[in-house]
Amino acid sequence: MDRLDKISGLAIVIIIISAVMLISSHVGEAVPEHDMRQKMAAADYSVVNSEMESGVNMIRNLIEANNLEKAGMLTQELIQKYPYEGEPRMMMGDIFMRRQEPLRAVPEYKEAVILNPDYLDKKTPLFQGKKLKVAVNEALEKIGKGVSENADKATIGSYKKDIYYLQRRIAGSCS
Amino acid sequence: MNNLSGAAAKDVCKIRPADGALGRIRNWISSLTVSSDTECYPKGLFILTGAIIGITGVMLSYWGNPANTGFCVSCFMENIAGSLGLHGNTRMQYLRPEILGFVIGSFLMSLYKKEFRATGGSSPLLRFFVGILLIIGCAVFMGCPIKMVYKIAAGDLTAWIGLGGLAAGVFIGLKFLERGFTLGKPFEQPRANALLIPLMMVLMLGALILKPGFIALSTKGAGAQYAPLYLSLLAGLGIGALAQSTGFCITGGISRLFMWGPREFTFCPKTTGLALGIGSFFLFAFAASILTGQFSLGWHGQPSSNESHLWNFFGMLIVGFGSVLIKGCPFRQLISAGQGDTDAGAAVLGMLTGAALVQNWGLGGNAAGTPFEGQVAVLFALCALFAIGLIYRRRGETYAPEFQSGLD
Repeated sequence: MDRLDKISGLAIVIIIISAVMLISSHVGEAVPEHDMRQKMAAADYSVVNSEMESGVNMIRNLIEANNLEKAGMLTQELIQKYPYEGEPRMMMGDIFMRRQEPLRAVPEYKEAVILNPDYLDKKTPLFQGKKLKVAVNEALEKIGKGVSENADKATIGSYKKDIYYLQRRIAGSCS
Repeated sequence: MNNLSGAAAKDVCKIRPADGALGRIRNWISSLTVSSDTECYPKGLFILTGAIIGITGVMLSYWGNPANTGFCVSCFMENIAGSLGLHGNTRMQYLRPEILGFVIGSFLMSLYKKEFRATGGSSPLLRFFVGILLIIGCAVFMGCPIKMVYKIAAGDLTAWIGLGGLAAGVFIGLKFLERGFTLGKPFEQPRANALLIPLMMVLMLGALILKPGFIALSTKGAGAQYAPLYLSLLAGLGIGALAQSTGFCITGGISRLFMWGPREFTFCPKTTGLALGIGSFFLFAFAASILTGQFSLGWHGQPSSNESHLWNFFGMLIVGFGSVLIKGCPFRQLISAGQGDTDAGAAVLGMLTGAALVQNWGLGGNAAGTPFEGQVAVLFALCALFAIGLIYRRRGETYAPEFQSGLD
């Protein structure tokens, strides 16, 4: 048994221990990736729901009329009713943007994109990449200006995480 | 280790002055840069190969391929696996002509140069398995070594972590080679065996053109993002042919630095050529990225990236380690399969299987990070590679004959 054998043996033991620790730390936990994939699969086969569509149209009209409070309430209801649909999340993001709150809009847009990647797919009619890019830029600007002075580091970190996620999705991917 | 290089350089000398129109063009390009003692490895050809891979890759992204994905063996293998019905992700289904072109281009060039040799029998099943691991590593990093260079050239600073991982993997792999790792010497095979992979690619090309019902093609998602077929195919054929001629390989280039030291970049013609090829690839991709507006220097918000840096490092480490053990990166396996190496063919089939598993089991990295399943897969792959390294060593021996000229 030479030095390479010993080092390799040690590496294998360390890797096995790491794997056991990693797996045991996830036992019993909800696996968000599964959830995400299920949501994406649901988005692929989503059926156009006339009830949701009429709700979305109503909210759009309310946003146009600048009745943001009522629009927000109705959107929340839709989100609870249709948790696997991206459109209500997208509307919620729009409402926050209207309220000049891009930092709160970004997590909504992020969730919408997770639920339905078509929002960032130029080949589909749902593509809204430019709008999301504006939201990301405004959110970054807001963080840059120090608007979040009141927020603690963890909150800023969470904002940044969502912003960077959305930035990466906008930039594109091979998968 | 240094005394290997001189003899090795002569042994692996493959490029000879050629006749015909293509040969005259090649000889002319070579005459511009080649000194008499290095005419087996014309520097011009290496620079040309790197330049073409760099420019065409960036341009294919510009013309429709996903961002920073002019060529990516792992992403494209996932597309092909999806198109053949090996996985059900409707956003990842396309018979990428670039991959088909690599193999067919290499096949045609090897026929033209009379270098098509049916060889095999060097642990093909194990190579199949390592092929699976290579694609898992690439998928976790979200790109193969070729794509890694495109990412770096486009300003993605996170890709440097991948380069670190790849170099670390190559270094570890070489330690095993240095101490007697061997998968067995390949031997001559019936010619028909070596035709299977090129034939498979030709059939897939036919399927891409004719679009029969059993082939799935994405209408949205990354699988629906592609450059015009003829451009992708032409680029694939050209690069396949050039890579067959030069032996261009990213991990091969890095391995030579570790095997024989920086001095070899001056004294070993093939090492010099590979270094020039990789350098030219990076510089031309860099220039093309800037000229086409695809350059964006930064740590955040880059295409095909995430913040799981540790896992990305390990993903590429697997690719480097595995590539050394089976004598070439995923790209090199395709080229070798095209020129008759049935062991590389087994690795290519393993890569296709790996691509299907990555999608079916959700192992690949995504914008959110490396999924739990991917992390477990990385640890499993690392463990498997170390175990393979241990099992296939001949203790007390050094480089096996098949490795004495470096990687392929």
